[in-house]
Amino acid sequence: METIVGVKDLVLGAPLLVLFFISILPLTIKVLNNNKEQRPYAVLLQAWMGLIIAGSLYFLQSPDAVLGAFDTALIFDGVNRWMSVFLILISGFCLFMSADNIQTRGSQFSEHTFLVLSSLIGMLIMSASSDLIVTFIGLELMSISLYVLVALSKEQVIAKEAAFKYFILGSLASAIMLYGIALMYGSSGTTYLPDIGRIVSELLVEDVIYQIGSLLLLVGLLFKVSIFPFHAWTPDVYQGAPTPITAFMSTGVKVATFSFLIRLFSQGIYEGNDFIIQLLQVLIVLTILVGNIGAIIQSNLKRMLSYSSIAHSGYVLIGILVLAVNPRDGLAVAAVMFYLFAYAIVNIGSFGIVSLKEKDENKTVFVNDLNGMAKTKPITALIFTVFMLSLTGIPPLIGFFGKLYLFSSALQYEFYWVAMWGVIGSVISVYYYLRPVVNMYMREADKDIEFARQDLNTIGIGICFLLVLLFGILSSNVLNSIQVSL
Amino acid sequence: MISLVLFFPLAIALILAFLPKYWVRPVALFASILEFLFSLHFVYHFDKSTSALQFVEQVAWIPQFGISYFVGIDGISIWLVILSTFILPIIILASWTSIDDKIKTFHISLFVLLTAMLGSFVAMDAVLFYTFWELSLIPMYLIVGVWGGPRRIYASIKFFIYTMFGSVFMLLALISLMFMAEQQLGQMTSNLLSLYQLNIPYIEGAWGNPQALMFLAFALAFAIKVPMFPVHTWLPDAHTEAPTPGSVILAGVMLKMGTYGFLRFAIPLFPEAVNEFTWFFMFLGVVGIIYGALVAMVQPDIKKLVAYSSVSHMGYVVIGMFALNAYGVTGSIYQMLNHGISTGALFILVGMIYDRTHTRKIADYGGLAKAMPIFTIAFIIITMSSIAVPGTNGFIGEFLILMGTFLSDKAMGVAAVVGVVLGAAYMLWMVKKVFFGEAGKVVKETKLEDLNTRELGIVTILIIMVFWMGIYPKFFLDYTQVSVDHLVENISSYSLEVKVGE
Repeated sequence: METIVGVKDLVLGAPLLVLFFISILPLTIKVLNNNKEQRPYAVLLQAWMGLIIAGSLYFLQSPDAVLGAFDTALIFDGVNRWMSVFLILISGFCLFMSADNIQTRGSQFSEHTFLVLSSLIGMLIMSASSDLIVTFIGLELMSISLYVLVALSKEQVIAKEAAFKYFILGSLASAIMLYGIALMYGSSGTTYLPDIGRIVSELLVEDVIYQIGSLLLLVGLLFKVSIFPFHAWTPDVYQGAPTPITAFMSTGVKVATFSFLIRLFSQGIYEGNDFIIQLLQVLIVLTILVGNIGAIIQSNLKRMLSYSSIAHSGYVLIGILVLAVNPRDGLAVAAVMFYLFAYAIVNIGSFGIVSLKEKDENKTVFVNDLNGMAKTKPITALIFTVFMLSLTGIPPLIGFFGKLYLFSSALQYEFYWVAMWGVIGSVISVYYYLRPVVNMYMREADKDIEFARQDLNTIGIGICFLLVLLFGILSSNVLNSIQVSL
Repeated sequence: MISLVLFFPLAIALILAFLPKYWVRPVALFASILEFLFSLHFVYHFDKSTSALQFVEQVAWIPQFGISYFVGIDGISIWLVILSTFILPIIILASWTSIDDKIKTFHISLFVLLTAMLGSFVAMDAVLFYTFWELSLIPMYLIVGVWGGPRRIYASIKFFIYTMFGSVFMLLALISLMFMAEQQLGQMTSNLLSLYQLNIPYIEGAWGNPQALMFLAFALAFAIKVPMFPVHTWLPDAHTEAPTPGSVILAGVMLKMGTYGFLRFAIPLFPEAVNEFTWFFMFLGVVGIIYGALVAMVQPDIKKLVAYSSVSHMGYVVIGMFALNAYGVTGSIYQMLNHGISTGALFILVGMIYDRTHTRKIADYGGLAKAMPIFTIAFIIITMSSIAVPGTNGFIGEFLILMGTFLSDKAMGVAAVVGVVLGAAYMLWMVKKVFFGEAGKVVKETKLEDLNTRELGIVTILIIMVFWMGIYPKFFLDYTQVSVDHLVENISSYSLEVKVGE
């Protein structure tokens, strides 16, 4: 395979290049300025400039074209465009939050921004990649930046422990995944997904090596989205990381990885692989149960939200399961994307509210800290309630429609048990999602609730709130525009 | 017009959020009366000669799945709509002084709740129905949890989880129905009129019998809401802990969402399964009647007694429905309204006395009749209605239900009559202990004032309704008759049309 980088490749890859150059801009300015830190808002402005340019470049691509760059190792199609714009938005909101949060706005904000943006580039690569090696590069770029981001926190104990845990386990998962890729390459002779997809039916019957390889690849990816039994790192890392980074990890990583999983499964890599289909069903049910039951006993708000994010990964995986049966099911793809969208805006908003309450870096927010918030901060309490209800899946909020679409596609392929355990999981989740609501509305405050002043973060939360209400009722329009672009 | 009635409360809820505190109550009262007058439009313009849907409005909502905003009213739902809008001003009046904390949130919850309840009565699209059905949980949860008694948090979460547990399975059955529509009608839809036409496979005796499973999924959701024995355990907790207005709206309207669901969804959609399970649900209904009555008999707490009497009364509604003949179904619809009025009134009266004495223990009372004569008269009239004395509304409902039950299943009828006797026993017993005999502790210690004008007004309206419905039921039954006849005659192949010219 001879690869020549042409103008077309550069044009299509422009968003990634723009983001790369912008990401080193704050660092360069800092170095040229005798290593003096710029003001956080100046850095934020530069980063947002990059995000806006990159985002609009995606809009310039014609909406229904499937374009390949770098010898089609990167494919820009409908799914990718949606996911990319979406990832860019997620990063933008998280940067809002980190420019305001005490843990991140401190001395190294330029480096922080650089790392967020390079992690974003990794995510964008992952979501566009159709070659296993390129995927691996994207995944590592994303993960390594995140390891450092977790460690950058000014908090000294839990953050360092979290970073270390995340790094060790993450590296192990990457190694397993790389091993899987090697095995797949060994048996199929290529790392290019469409090529593998073409010969997969022959490989499946005969080749044990290929089967093991594809399983290990899946393990590596499932680790990143914290599917049971690869979920154990999640609560510790999410708790230890600075809150804006938790928001970024719990949404960005999932969107990127699921975006690649969509690509992987719709190329038919696992089509008709009964073992994988069986395995996924079991994993989905266990993930939903483990996530939801684990969240019940948490008193730390961030830990509770991280267990809930495990459960939500389980729900999203239902759509992937459907793709394993029928790789060309547009509804399942749209359902997965819609669910991710619903989950991500709510999660960013919720972590934003957690971040509002963090006044110094060593303070953890407990569920009980919300006591009596409805009296002192009625609007924030209302917004947080809406977020929690949306995560539970109460209509007419956006989370309900996400679940409706996913369960519909599960029932279409007669995965009755999966859907049943899925809804039972929702019922369990009522208990812990309502706990903050109970505390906010039904208990009296033992002390005054004070918020740190965080203007940008507040704007971000407000936008998320509007999206939750609006796209709940207008969900069909969103779903439709996703489906059209596939 | 339906949309106006449906979303007017929501708009009011939004407006209330921006009003200064002292304006909240008057505006809420005014708006709720206005809303009631709006809803009377349906009564005046209702065509009693047809079973078709009237006042229909339809807009596509999620076209990919064939889900639409589709609302309409027929003989089965019309009085439930009116009941909901009628109860709201009464509740606002009844809570005028008893709720004094966070009144803004309280009234907003009430109005959102009204929209949700009305929505589930008028929705003719299954997913739309589900949306309103679930939406109603949130305000009710807040009402119980924020303004309730000492164990309010436990009670409110129990209420939420129970109802949610029932309804998620209904959602799954619903989605399966929509896919069945795709196979049989060529496109996915959750339009109820199309779903009625489905031919849902019924495989006798098979474990995976699709129709039976779907029926049970729907029935579980509704049975929890009604609530039927043995899934009734959330109700006494919720009632006891809820503030008076919460109990009134819960007993008055929300429980009817369950029985209405049976009539609108479970019975017409799954005729063969209904046939199979009729005896089972009648049996549970009868058990509910007798069990509720027996447990009510030993309650030391007035409010808990009324709550268990609710379980008992809703048992009548269930057996009437599953008698599947015109008497039974008519009686059961009528009994829904009666129960709304008389149990609602009982809760209001209990609330009034509780506001004065801050105790609900029967043992603390005694000889109240001397201290509060007007209150006593009102309470006894409502009690008569609750135990179905001829001339009151309860008599008509129970009589029709028992007639229907005897026609379809004699044994169940006999058992239900036992319940009537028990019902009279526990209510009269309680009345005797509270109002007559020697003056009890609280009656001696506190200076009790009789009803004031506001309270008297509420009670008078309710008593007028009791007698109106008891003496001239024809006015109400005329509206439901054609629809009910249409339902019981075509039970195995039910269909519903939109009224021509709409």
